[in-house]
Amino acid sequence: MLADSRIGTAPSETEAAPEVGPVTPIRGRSLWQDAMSRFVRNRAALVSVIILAIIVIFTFVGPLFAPWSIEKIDWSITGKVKLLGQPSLASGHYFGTDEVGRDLFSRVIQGTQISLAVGILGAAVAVVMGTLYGAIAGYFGGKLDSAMMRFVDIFYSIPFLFILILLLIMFGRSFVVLFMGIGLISWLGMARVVRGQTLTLKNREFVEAAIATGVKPLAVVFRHIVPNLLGIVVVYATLLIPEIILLESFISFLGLGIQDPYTSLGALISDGARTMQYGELWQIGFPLAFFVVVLFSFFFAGDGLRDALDPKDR
Amino acid sequence: MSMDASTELLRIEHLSKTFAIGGGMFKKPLQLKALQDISFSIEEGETLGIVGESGCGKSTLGRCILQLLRPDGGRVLWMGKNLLDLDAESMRKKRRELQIIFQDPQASLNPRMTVGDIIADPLKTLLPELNAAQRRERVMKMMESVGLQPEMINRYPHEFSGGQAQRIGIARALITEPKLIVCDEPVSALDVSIQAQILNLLTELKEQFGLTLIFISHNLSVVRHVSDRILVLYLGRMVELAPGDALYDDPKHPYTKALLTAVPVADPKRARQRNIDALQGEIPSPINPPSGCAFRTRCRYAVARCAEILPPLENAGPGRLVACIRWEEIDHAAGMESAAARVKVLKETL
Amino acid sequence: MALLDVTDLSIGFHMPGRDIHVVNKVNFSLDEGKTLAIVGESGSGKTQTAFSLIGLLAKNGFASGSVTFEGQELLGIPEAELNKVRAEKIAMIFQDPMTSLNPYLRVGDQLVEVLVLHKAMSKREAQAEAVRMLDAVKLPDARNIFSRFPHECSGGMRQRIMIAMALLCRPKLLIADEPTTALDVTVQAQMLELFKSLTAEFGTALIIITHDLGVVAGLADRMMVMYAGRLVETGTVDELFYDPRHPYTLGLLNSTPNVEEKSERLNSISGAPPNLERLPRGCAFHPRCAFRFERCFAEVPALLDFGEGDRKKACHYARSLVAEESAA
Repeated sequence: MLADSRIGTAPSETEAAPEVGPVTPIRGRSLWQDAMSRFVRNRAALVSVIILAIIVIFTFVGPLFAPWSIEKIDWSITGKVKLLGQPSLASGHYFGTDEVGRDLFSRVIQGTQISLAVGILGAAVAVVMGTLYGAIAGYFGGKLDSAMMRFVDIFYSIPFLFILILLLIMFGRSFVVLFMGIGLISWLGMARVVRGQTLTLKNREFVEAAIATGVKPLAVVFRHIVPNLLGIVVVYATLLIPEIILLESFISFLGLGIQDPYTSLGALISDGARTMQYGELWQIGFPLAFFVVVLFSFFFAGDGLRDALDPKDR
Repeated sequence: MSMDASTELLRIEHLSKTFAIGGGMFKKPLQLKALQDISFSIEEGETLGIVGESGCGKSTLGRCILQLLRPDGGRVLWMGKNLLDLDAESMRKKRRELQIIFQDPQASLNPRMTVGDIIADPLKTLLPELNAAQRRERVMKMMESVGLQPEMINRYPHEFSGGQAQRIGIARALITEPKLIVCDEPVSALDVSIQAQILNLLTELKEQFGLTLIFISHNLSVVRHVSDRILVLYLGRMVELAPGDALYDDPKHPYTKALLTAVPVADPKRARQRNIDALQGEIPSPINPPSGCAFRTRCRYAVARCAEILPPLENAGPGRLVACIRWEEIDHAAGMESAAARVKVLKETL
Repeated sequence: MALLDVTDLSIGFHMPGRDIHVVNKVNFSLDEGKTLAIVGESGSGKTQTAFSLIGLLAKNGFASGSVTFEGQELLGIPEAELNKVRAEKIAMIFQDPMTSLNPYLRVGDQLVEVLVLHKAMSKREAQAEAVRMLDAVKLPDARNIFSRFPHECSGGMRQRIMIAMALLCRPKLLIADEPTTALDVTVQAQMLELFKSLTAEFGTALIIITHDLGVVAGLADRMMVMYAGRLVETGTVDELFYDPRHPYTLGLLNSTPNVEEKSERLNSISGAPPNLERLPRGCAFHPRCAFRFERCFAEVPALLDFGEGDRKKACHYARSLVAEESAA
């Protein structure tokens, strides 16, 4: 043909020759590490995470500074809340008191704890249940998938809020009932999202490769599909937390949530709203401020996560 | 190719695969006949090239052989046993002997696993008796064999170039010491200079490990280079089967002829001399193939009978099969033509 | 005067924290009616070079140097003026026809839109002209295709429609970015014949970007080879195929398997294309070069004229490569 060449003094076909002697493996940069550096560059997201961290630390450290507990009533200001119940460093009521005379500082801290706990735990339950359910339905497909997803569809169409309220009225306002109710609703959306993503993933060649190398179906799901789902699951979960907090707050706002003396941000806001007409604005101001900051931080962090885990990397 | 009593490793008999497209609760799905009546066998140590254009079913065929897709009809005899008769667990164990290399190197590697884990994965499932240290040792040795630096064992797929990623895929396919590897367009996604490296690597590894290869590609030049025998598919059917040199030097089927003339030659003088006379028309849809011979809509030699009969595979010489009812006439005419041309040249020189 | 003159074209992208240079001082020209092939592998910069000619660089891209078309400078002119040049003077077709065809509009409407916008034709005139062009690209039953949607057409048909759309305003220059890479071999052959006949019929100059040397051999008059963002060799197709003067060109030619002859072992180029952000010192190709010597490690070779005609190479090795081969 044209010119048959000799390779001559050129290096061997691969990169430089492998080293002789013991081999020290080089650490690789996983996609998570790439995503982390991208996330850190997103200032809004980074600030949000820092704020959330501060709030969490605050809920643990705060009580150490609170002279009043969440349920102790300060009899000295009963009846004169508007005048004496205002936020002041002197009286020890840093955020003021509520209408009954209980310290708002401690109550806000406790309310934030409860709201965060409900949100995070609820999201955790949704993640685990939803991911397993969705991945199995999506991967195995066929009749199993149809059946599983019809079940989800039916559940989805039930007016859950209605049932949750009924349950709370019937069985009383316990943390457990509230928690179960929220958990039952939130995993459905996750299952759908995960199933959709699984459908896409299972057609990817590396899944085919795993099957071709004899990996058992369940192992394929857990070793190959789930790790590649985590990106979307984490983003969805981060955005699910504020949703759950909102849901719980709404329930509490209606007066059906957490029972006294425990409280949540929603309940506090509800109480505070009632006393707004008396001009005791601090009673709604502080819980509302925390509420808004927590929600927005989760939203920004979730958005930041979504950008950082950009699909083009998957 | 082995010189002594060569063993038949794989025999495909009347393989067919149909896909149901679309359809819903009230609509019947369309039938896409991806493969029909495919029959051939492969000897140990040979490389069979499978070529064809879109819709010919070559990728489907590769997957049906490996049972990644379940054929609808026919038999896949691996060392005498029909793979279609095996239950899921037995088939899983057989996978040790039958492996595959994919077209898109990056897509075939799990982006969340390190290279070491990817290559070790088949060992975990098919050789569970090995412990982690033994697996690691095998992985590193394999990396060296395919030209990867063993220090890269903890790196992730996206940190590698296309050529290197394909080497990882090859390492994974070889780690269980298979007998047969289906290579599904293994170099199509790579740069030209890297293609050559990988093809050379495959040839070396084939010798070193005593492999049998099925090489699927749309690139006729590449296929010529690696294959002993070549199977040409058109719209899911076998069109021609012949030893490599015979197919390229003396194609019998009109489609093969057209295919070969259509390949651009990297030689400007020859390109100018060639009268390509490109094949007209498009590849018909596999959902609604033409009656009789599927190629007749684009064939310059088509006659009325071509629409009525499905051309059977006829013997066209040692190890050659052609599916065309007019192949002998066409061959004869071509022979006359070149003879006439020779006479003309002789007359002119005298 | 050449139709297109590119002088010292350099292209880069602003990335977070740094700038990447993807094309470095490329020089070439193209005469009317001629076909130029730009050849290279991934990372060579060939696609960005073509994109920059009609201002299609991404938002974070920047270009310097000069690109003159019929005497008019194109780099850096305002968008409004650039739009007049696009479609009317320079048109481009891409590898994937689906990206340039709007899936929601019928084929005919898209063609008519171009004509009405650029040639100020009435709808009726535009329709007639569009059908004529669909015929010219050898689409059977042009009227029928006119009223179809892109997804109702096959890959080969869509590619032809794209070519028709590009040629509607009779541009002087057509740029085709890997136009046949995604097509079947037989369809590719049809497409190459079509290119040949259209460029002859309309007198269009053609720049074709490809990595397939077979396509180059059958279609181009001149070719230029790019490696790691630099132009390494340019000349007529015959010159480069039969007397390549850059080891990379030689390597590409040797790596291409020949459908007409089976070789024992394919000659490949060792190593892989370099990371543009970490180019080797001296000549970017030297780590993979069989002809390298000390100078190559230290000094980047300049693109210099040599021989007759418009022949250039960027290589320190002075002698003919083919002669070396046959002597060895």
